[in-house]
Amino acid sequence: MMSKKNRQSARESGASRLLVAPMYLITLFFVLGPLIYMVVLSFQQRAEVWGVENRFTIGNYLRIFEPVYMNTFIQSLKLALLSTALIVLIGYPFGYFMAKLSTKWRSRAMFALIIPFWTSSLMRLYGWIIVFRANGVLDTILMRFGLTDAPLKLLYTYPAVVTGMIYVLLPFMIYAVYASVEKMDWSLIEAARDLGASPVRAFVTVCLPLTLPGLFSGVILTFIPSMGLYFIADILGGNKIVLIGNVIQEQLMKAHDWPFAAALAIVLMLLTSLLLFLYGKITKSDSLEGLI
Amino acid sequence: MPDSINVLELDGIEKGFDGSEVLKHIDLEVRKGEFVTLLGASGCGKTTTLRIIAGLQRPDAGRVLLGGREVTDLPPDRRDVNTVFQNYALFPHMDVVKNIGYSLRLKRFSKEEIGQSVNDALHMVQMEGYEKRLPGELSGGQRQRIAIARAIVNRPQVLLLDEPLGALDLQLRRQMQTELKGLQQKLGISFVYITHDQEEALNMSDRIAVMRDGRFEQIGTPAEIYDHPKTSYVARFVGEANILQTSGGSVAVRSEHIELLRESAEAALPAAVKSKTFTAGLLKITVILKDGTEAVASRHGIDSELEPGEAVWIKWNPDHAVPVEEGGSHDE
Repeated sequence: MMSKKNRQSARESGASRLLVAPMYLITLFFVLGPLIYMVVLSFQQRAEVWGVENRFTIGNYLRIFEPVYMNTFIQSLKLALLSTALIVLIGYPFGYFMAKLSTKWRSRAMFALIIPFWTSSLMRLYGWIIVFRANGVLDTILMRFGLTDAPLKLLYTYPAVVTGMIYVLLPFMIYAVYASVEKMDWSLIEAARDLGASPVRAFVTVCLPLTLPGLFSGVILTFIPSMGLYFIADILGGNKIVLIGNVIQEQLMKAHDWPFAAALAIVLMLLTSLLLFLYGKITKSDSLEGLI
Repeated sequence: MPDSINVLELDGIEKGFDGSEVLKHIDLEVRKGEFVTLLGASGCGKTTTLRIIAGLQRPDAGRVLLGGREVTDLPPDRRDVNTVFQNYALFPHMDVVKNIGYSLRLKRFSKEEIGQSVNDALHMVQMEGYEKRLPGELSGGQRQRIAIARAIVNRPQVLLLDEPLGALDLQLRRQMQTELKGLQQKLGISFVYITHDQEEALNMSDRIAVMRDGRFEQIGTPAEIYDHPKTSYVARFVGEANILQTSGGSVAVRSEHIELLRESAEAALPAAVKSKTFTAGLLKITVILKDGTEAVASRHGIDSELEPGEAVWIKWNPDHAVPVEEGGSHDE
């Protein structure tokens, strides 16, 4: 009876549209609503003691131009770009070769990638402290094998934060690349080889352009979060690495300056969107075909 | 290259997958400008043979020679052979011109040379005006033509075609058969063509190699294959001949040569009408002989007065009976 009902509603597109309308309304309400609230908030003023005063100002945005915040933005951007670049370099080959595994090993690799998600990423980052801290796991191993003489003291350094970023975000890149490589038609590679392309040429001219959408969504899935994952910098960077996400969190939770936090968040959002827009422009152009 | 040298030679090719033999000692010689068809049911090993010629698969044993030179161990990009793939395998992110010019760009020809060759190829397959289209914007028949243009643009010694017309409708298939044959004669390139369609093979080929279970059952001109099938398999597969037992052994008799009589006559065999079907302009009457074998007689016209269950006698002119080996020759 249920399925009959479904079929009928599918036939009458008007009725089916009405049926899914609540979902769109809920999504709009919970996504667009807070966004609008945040924009409004960013133009308001912080109250003397607690909360927000309903007075229009652009002071929050002007304050972002202060060197201390500008530098934080630049540092966040650098870290996000570096992390994303490294994730692409590791994740693309990983996803590519995973897609070429036999079905049995493919599901095993997939399983291995899912296991970490069973634990909170916060917990897993604390695990990295054990690895990175002075005389921790990493130092012990390196010194045992005589690769270093003294502890490297990597905890609370830039490399530690980058490692944490890669660790948390790499699976998303792998999945995205895997999905696009897996559904690629391998007879196209054979056609390229047949027409005279070496394995490398065939990859660059056929496989890479066709899996670019996967790489693109992988970049989106890693770059956006890497701009805001403040707890990684918190846990593995101590107070030495301050990212824009940390500033937003501080302004919101400690300084209770909600309007300024909102302004920072909006600028971050615009900056990220702009960069992704530019990235999309570049990858959609014919620049890749110049490689052939 | 002197004409006496075969453009392509397969010498004792063997190939197995996971313990099962797919190709059992394949020998084939293709002369310059020859149109050779590998004809067989699906799973007989014809695609594997083609892939070994192209270099996409390596044989377990045997040699592949192109223009007298051994290429068995060369990768596909270093063989002067191109393939028209069954699914066309056009690059979806390149337009028609880029697809056709792909091999020329790899060889670093000048822009002018590439443009000229691509135009020639487009003209040859009558696809001018589609230069900027993406494969996704073309119909099956048009994609087919582009795939052919892409494969012939750098004039390989041998063109391999893997059931290129399989996905097209009957009318288009007939038209493409004529065009492909014309193209092949114009280019003077040797074609190795795969099909399971006996009509296609008989129409286009200079020679046909009938394949069965990883072996060539018979290699010969269409006339030889059709009129003098060596084995009962070939007789059945090409032209759907009846295999009948006589005192002198098995003979193949084509359905159009089977006479149906209402009364006994000399050398006639008793039978019963089983069914009647009308296909491709012919009425096919299936009868069952006393020993259980079925035979098909074909007639022009849409119906006959014979009804299923009726007793008849079948007779054929001995001139049209070709002696064949029963069961093939796999157990030597």
